[in-house]
Amino acid sequence: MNEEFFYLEPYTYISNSSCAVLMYNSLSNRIITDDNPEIVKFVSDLIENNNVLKIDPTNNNIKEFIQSARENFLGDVYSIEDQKEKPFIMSSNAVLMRDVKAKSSGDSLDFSIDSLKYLSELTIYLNENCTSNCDDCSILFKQTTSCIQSNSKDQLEYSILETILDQVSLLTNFKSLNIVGGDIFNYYRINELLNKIKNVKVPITFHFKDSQLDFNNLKKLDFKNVIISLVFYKAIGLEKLKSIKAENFCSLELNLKFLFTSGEEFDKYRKYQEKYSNISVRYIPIFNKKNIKFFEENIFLTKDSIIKNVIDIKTIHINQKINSLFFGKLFLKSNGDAYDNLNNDKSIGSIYELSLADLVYKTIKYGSYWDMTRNKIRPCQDCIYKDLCPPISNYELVLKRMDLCKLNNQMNN
Amino acid sequence: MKSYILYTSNNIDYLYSKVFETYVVVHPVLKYILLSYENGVTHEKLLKDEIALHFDFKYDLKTCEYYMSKFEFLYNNGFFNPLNNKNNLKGKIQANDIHKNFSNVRQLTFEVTENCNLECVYCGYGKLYSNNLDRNRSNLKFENAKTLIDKIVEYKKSKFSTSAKHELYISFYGGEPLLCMNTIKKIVEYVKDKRSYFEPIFTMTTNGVLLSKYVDYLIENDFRLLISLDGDKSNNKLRVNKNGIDEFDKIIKGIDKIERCNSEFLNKNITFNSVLHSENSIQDIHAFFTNKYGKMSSISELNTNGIDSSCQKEFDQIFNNFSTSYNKHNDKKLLELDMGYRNPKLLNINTFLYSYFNFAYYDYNDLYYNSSKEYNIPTGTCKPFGSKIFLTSKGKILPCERIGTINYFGSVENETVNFDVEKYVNGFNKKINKIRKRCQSCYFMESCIKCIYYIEEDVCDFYMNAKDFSSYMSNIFEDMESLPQLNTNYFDLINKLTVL
Repeated sequence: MNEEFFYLEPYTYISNSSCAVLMYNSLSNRIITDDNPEIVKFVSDLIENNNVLKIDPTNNNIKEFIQSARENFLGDVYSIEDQKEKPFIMSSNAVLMRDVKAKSSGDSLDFSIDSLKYLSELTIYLNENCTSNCDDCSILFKQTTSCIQSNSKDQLEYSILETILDQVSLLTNFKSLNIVGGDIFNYYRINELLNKIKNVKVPITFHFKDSQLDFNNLKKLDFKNVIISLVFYKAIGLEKLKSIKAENFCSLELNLKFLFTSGEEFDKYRKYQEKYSNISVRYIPIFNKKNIKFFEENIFLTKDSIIKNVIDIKTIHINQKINSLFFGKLFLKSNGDAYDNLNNDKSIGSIYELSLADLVYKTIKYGSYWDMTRNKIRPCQDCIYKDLCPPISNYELVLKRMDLCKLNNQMNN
Repeated sequence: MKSYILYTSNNIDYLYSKVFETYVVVHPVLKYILLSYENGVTHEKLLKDEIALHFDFKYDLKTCEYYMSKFEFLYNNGFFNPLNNKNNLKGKIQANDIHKNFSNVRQLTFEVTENCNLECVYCGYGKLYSNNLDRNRSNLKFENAKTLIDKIVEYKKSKFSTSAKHELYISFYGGEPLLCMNTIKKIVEYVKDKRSYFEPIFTMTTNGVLLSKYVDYLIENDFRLLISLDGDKSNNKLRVNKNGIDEFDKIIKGIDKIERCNSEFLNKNITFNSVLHSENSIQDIHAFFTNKYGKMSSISELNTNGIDSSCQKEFDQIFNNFSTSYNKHNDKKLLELDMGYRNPKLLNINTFLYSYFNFAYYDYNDLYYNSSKEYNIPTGTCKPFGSKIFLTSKGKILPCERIGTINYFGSVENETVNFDVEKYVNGFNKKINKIRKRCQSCYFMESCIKCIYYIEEDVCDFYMNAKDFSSYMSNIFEDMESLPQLNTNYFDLINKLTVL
């Protein structure tokens, strides 16, 4: 009798834990899962044997599993007589030829040369002093781009800004520059800065809270490459929007961010938006330490929502290697300290001592946020959905809990 | 251009999809359906009974039905869809690319002299080659090197500099660089003063004849040396001096002196390169270097470009093909282990994987920003000055020492660097434009390493049609399949590959 082998299709992504397996067909986006201990063991052996494994013809559970895999074109069977040799099956897991965290020679050079190509977004805090006393100011900026209030009198040196503005237009993957305060219009050289930004060839977003809204100041930002982001919190202050009339601007691009902590606030925003249907907004939930229940009920992921949102194998590869929410983003505080994430208390270094390129290099080589993936942290690393799940976000960091899901720390399906 | 390729490795058929950059194993029934499809018989028109009959009922109706549905699955999910060639190889270089490359260059190579104390039979600057007519044993002027270094520093201070403070390889090349130690010493001292802009690492390619004389200086300055040596004494018959005598004993004396006074330097800083030819073999080279120095040498074939037509026969007599010599080795397993990452097979596999498979990425940028598609120009030509600036002893600036000086970018004279970036960029783009259409129909394009400066009259010997590409895939697959037999973790190995 011919020996029969089961092999995984090279386009099939597979994830296993000690008690479950998941197989994803990257051509058809179909997923199957199984928690039968015999199947779990079979898949573990399969992975160990380079995705090709001899079939035990007497095991009905395995035979059923293989039949299901074949029906979904996740794997196939071949017999030795047919083809003489075992097929060569490559793994569908992402492989990086140059991995900055690997210790092989040449890596440092590879990543220090043109390190700025890794930078996609820079957020600059011009200052931190502000007279508005907004609710929860100290928690908002850790969850979404928003202003800061502190006692610091630091202002970022203008010469630093000039150098950055000259350089960002030349960067390969740079997408967005965010300018934030404190109070932006209290910056000591605001007029020179406004004069300079006219000629910068990347989009620059100025971020304000509703409490800082001043029509005359907004007029000063009326340039083609400038976007104004207005942040509203808890559905308060929306009436101020009436004062902004598009006809008073040459090239107004307004982004509204509606931050909410409860369903009631969300509903208020929705009603407002219904009235002014021409305004485009982003709804952003905020964790304020008192609304964990709201988060559990509305924000936490379910198994269905994870599966529904699987887009393609590329997304899985990205999730395996980097955190796409954090990657490429750098934050520069008004005292010159740079951060790879504002939930990180430890600065990467100071822009007064290192160049922007040096700071990016240090981030990619030694930082832990750009490549903070679920396969590195508990409990997610033991979950079969770890590479399908959206990346760790600022919410997880603020909540100090990595599994914002309803899978109950399951390692199974 | 077809979007899929059928190929065979170790008697197993595979089908590669360019759209998905993945493949499937092809069962004989699936292959029959595929070939019928290629002959205009779509899968809807095929009957399972007819297929079973074709195979004399070796495969039952259920099997035939399954592979009909598998073909349909692949077909419906776009496995055979035509490629979207919208932006295929439409790129060109721009002046800012040159400025940026100069500002972020990783290697500065100085040809300190054209003079050499050997006259190797196969020398790229020797009588076998026709593309180096203007060599007259000139030496590099220190002032020219200094002027170019100053220019690099100027670029480092500009907005085009997008690198963190990094190592800059300061490389000395010849002729034989050890013949001009005074110039080298001056350059080394000058470069050391520029440490606030980059961290210099000194490297040298040498024939080793004068090693004994300069060992102390080279060790003191932590030089990384690449010594050209073709194996044992009998293997070095083509590396001879003006009198036709090999200098093997002298070279070995120098290396042994290093081993005696600083064995760590020998281990860490010295690598060897052996040219493969009629007087040696990979087995000889392997045996000599591992026995004598406990490390393996890199192995290169003779350069087949630019051969003087009158010397073709002589060249053919000394040429030794890497694959042939490799296959003759009596312990390939040991050879592959000793060669490690220097194994050209592995380097080919590395390039092959990230060029053609959706799971392999060059780096984070390739993964996240799709950066491998950025440099979307025909041929495998490097970005000019993207990794290296080469200054000849006569003061000509080139992107590489391997291309003829006729293609120079600029020059250094009278303490001035002269170049016309726009003119160079236009010339480069014009050259590239000429071959663009040809490259757009080439199946090998994604992993091409053919330099535009080696393509004469738009004829490229790397060009592959579908059939060529199928054979290429078969060969690489066979190489890959042989790797796990080394008991090496294949993906670990691929992960560690480094190509500088």
